[in-house]
Amino acid sequence: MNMVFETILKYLFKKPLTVRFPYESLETAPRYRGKHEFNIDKCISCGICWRVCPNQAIRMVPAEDKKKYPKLYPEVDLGKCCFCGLCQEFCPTGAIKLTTNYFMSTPNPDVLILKPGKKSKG
Amino acid sequence: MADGDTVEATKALEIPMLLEVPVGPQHPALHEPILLKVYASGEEVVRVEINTGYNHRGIEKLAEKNTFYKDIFIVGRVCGICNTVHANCYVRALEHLLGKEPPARAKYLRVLAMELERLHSHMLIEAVMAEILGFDTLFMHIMKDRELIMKAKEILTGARVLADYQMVGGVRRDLSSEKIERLNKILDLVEPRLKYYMKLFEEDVTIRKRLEGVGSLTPYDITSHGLLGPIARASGVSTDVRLHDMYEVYSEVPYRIVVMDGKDTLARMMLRWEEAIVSLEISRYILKNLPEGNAVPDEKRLPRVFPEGEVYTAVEAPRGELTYYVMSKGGTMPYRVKIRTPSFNNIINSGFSYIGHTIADVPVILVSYDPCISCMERITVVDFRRKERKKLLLKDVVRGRV
Ligand code: SF4
Ligand code: SF4
Repeated sequence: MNMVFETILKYLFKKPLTVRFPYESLETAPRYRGKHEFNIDKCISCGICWRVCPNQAIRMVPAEDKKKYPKLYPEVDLGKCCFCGLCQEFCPTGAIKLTTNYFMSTPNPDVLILKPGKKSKG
Repeated sequence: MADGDTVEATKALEIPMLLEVPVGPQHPALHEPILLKVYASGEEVVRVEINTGYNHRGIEKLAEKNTFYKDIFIVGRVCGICNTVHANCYVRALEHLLGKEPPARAKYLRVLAMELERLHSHMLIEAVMAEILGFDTLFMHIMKDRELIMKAKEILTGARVLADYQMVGGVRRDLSSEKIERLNKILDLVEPRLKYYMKLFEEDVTIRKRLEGVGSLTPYDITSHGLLGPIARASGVSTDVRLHDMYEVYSEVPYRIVVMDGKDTLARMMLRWEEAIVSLEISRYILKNLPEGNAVPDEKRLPRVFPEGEVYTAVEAPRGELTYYVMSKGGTMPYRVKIRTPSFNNIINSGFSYIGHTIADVPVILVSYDPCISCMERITVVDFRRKERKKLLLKDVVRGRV
């Protein structure tokens, strides 16, 4: 019984364990594997990321600005991605990277397809 | 159950029919959809049919169609809770095929990841047991402390749940001394809590009343039905792959096997707490005695083509012995990957242990085997006199409208 009151008293003067979500969010470890970041200028279109991806989440597609970027570039479908991080590890130039951003829920599935050369929101 | 039309006056309370209560196949809080068809005569369970197959994803076939390296990530998705043990078992099979030995530091880090996983897996099932017993606050408290372990796993592997931590020839991320300190701090926070919960399960009157003597399994039951892991150890059968195989570095870490003689549900839950404390001790030891060296192999330089051969590996998953059989006919893809998980043995073969208990004991016994069950709102009434079956809402049964 004492333990119960002790626990109640202890938690009475503590900050809540939960965070107020839209305003605050939980901190992730620096090595957390979240949403991809793709730097099209560094990419050499070798296609290694496309080949190693276990989920076939990466397709090689032409960029929007075909004059500046004439080759094929990886397009990541986050809906298929399992966040293993293989694409990041195998990329010879470090063009594709996983950030610690984990806010990916969306009602619009098109947002989940990261087109090469386009700045993704969020 | 009376078969004739006349019901004797001395047995006025006997319900002349069998109730079929489907327990499953969905549960809002946990994975593993499974259906238990419980046939009850009054309150007493007379037969249990176990149906599985709701979550068949064809992982074994998928593994045959992908390269050896991609399969490491595919087998990690067999189960969310024990993904590092699956990956470890498969990676060790690949290492045997290649004749490669990972460095000592990598082995220590692998064991650390696996023991953290066992810790949070055991805490999860204890929390679920608390919830099933009606202790929702206790559920919240255990889950709150479990979250610390999840954080530790995130610091180590880069993800709370799906670690993807192991690679042929080592691990994928090293641990710096600063991170070791953070992990140590988390373990210091968790240890007194584990001891407190253990004491609570041992001393609380309600928990004891609900768990003691329920779902008892004799050592004969265990061996004749092939039950594994904590269930076997709680009935006095000393079986643990960590002890028998001494894979990775279990011969060096302070590992002790926990065996209890209680045989009932309470013994199984107490055994899990004790094992959680052993896991914590192992994690502490590893953080203190981590050997120097390079644990991370260069993934780009690993051999792409594997030699011909067959390998059979086993690990002790949180739920029992998990084995992998990998067959290679050369080339870049395995010819066959066979997975045998402990839950399959433990759940499919344990239908006999519910018989004779009440319906209220079914969830308790099932949770003590560490799977996941579901809450249902419908039951089927089997009327043997009129030979008909109908489905009813539970609330109708409660209000006596059957
Ligand atoms: S993180 Fe893994 S699954 Fe996702 S795109 Fe990269 S390689 Fe594919
Ligand atoms: S992102 Fe990296 S791996 Fe993928 S095509 Fe570009 S350079 Fe190659």
